[in-house]
Amino acid sequence: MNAIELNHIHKRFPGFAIQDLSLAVPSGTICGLVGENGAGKSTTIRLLMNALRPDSGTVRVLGVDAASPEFRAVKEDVGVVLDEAYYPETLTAVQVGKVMAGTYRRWEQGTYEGFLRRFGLPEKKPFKDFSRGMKMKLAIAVALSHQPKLLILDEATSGLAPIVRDEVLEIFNEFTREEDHSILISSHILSDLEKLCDYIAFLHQGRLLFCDEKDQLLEAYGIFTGTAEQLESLREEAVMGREASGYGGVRALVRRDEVPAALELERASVEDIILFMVKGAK
Amino acid sequence: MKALVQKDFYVIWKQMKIFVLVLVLLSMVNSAFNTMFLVVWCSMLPYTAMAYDERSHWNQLAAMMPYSKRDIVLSKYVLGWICMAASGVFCLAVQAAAGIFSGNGPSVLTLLASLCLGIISLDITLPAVLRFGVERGRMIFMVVFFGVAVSIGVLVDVVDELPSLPIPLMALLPLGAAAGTALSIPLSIKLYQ
Amino acid sequence: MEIIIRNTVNQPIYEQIYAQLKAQIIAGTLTPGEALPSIRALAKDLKISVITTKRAYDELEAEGFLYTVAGKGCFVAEKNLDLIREQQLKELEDHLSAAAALAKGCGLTVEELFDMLRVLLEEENL
Repeated sequence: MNAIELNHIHKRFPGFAIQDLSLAVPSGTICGLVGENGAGKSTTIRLLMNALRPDSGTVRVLGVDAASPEFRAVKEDVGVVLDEAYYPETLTAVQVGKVMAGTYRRWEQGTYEGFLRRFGLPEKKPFKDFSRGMKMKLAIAVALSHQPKLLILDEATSGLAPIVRDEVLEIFNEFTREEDHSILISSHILSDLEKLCDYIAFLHQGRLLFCDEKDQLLEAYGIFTGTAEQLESLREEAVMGREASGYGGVRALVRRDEVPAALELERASVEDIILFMVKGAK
Repeated sequence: MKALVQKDFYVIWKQMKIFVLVLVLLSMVNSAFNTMFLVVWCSMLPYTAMAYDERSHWNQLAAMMPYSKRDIVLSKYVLGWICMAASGVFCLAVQAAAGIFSGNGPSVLTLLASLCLGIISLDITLPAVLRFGVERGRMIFMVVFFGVAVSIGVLVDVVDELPSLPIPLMALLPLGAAAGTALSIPLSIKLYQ
Repeated sequence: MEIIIRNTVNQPIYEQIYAQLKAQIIAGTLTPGEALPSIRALAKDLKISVITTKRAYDELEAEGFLYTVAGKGCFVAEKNLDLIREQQLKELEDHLSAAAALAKGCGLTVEELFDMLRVLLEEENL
C-alpha cells in the first residue's frame, strides 16, 4: 500500500498553479519534498490533508480518499508539523497537551511529557514567548505523541540548531523502524534530506520534475571539474547544468552513464543535483 | 469539540481576568443596562478567541487534525453560551448579595432577556465571522452589537413604561433565540471554510 | 558482522554492502544459518535508505548467499558448490603463492617450477 497517493492533481490560483501532480510514497519510506519557496510544497501538503480541495485529481492517504467522510478518522493516524501555523499564542505546553489529549484518541501523555523534557521545553511559558526552534520542537512533540502512522513535516528542521537538527532527524529515522510508518518531509535544508530520505521529489513552479530513489540519484550523477574545453568534449546529453568559476574553470553536473567510465568525477550531493537542476530549469 | 472549547478558554483566560473585575464593579450597580451589557459583551468572547486563532494561523493546523466542521463551528457557539451563562449567574449572585443591603432583588427577567439577546446576536454574527474571518466579520458584529445596544435601550424604556407589555415580548425573545440558533448553526457549518 | 560504508568512494552504497557481506560469508566470518539484521534494522542502524539495503539483500539472495524465512528474517545460506569451489580456488592460489615464493628463495626458474609441477601432476595421473 502507498502511504500517500496524489493522482493528476490540478489546482489553480491567481498567478500560480499546481499542474498534473502525481506522487506516490510507498508505505514504510521517507520521501523528501524539495523546491524553492513558492514551488508549491506547502500547497501540496494542504491538498494532501484535504485542507484544500483540488480542481481535479484524487488524493489518497493511508489508503483512504481524502475527499471521503472516512478521512477524518485517518487524521488520527497523521502527525502534522507545519511551517507557519501553530497553536494560539497564549497557550502553554501543558495546555497544548491537554487540548491535544481531547483531540486525538490515542494520545499518550507520557510520551508527550517525555519529549517536553527531552527537548527542554518550559511547561508554563506561553507559546508566543517561544523561539522558533522551541515552537518546532513542541509541534514535533505533539505530532509524535498520538501513535501516528504517517508524519507530514513542513520545514520541520529549519530554525533548529545543527545539533538539535541531528537529534530530530534521528527521531524521525527511528520512527520509520516500524514497517508501516512513513514520512513526507519538505525542507530546503537539502543535507538533512540527504541523510534521512529514501526518495527525493523535486517540485518546481507547481510541477513535479522528478521523484527518484535518493541513492539512485546519487549514483546516477557526478560532478565534473575541469576546463571549459574539456567539458565541451563531453556529450550534450551528459551535462545537466554548469557553472563557470571565473578563472577558466568550470563545474558541471553530469550523468555518469553518458560519460566515459574512466572520467574522474566527484560525488554529487543532493544539494548539488538540485541546485544544478534549478539553474538548468530556469 | 470539548477540546476546542477548552482551548478557547485557555486563550481568553487572560482577558477574562480584567473582565471579571469589570464584571464585579458593574454588577454592584443593579441596573438592567449593566446586566444586558455584560451578558451581550460575553457573547462576543468567541471573537476574541478567533482573533487569536487567526494570529497563529491555527485554522490551517486544525484543518489537519481530526475535528469535523461541526466540531469547530459548534465550539464557538458553546463558548459563547457558557460565557454568557457564567457571567449571568455571576451578575445574579452579586446583585443578590448587594441586594441584601439595598433591598433590591436581582432582576431575573432582565437577565433572561439579555441571555436571549446575546444568543440572538451570536446567531446573527457567527455565520458571517466564520465565513469571512474576524477582521471582516468585525464590521458586521459592530453593527449588530450597536443594534443590540439600541434594542436594549428600547427594551429598558418599554419595560419601565408598559408593565403589561413585557410578557408577550418576553416570550418572543426566547423563541427568537431558539429559532435563531436552530437556523444559525447549520448555516455556519455550511459557510465555514 | 562488520559493515563500513564509505562516502568518499565512488562505489554505490548497495554495492559496498553486498561486497562486504559476500566477502564475510565466503570467508566464513558469517556462518551458515546465522541470522542477519532485517533490511529495515540494518538501514536504520547504518542511517541509509531501506531501498538500498533491500537491494543488497536481494542480490545476495539471488546469488544464493542468503535466504529469507517469512516472518523470521534473513539468514546466511549453506555454502553451495560454487562457493566451495571459489574457496578452494583461493586456497589453491594461496598454496601456489607460497610455492612460488619458496621457489624464488631456492633460486628456481619459472621453467624449473613448471617442470616440477608437470611431473607431480603426471604422478597423480591428473
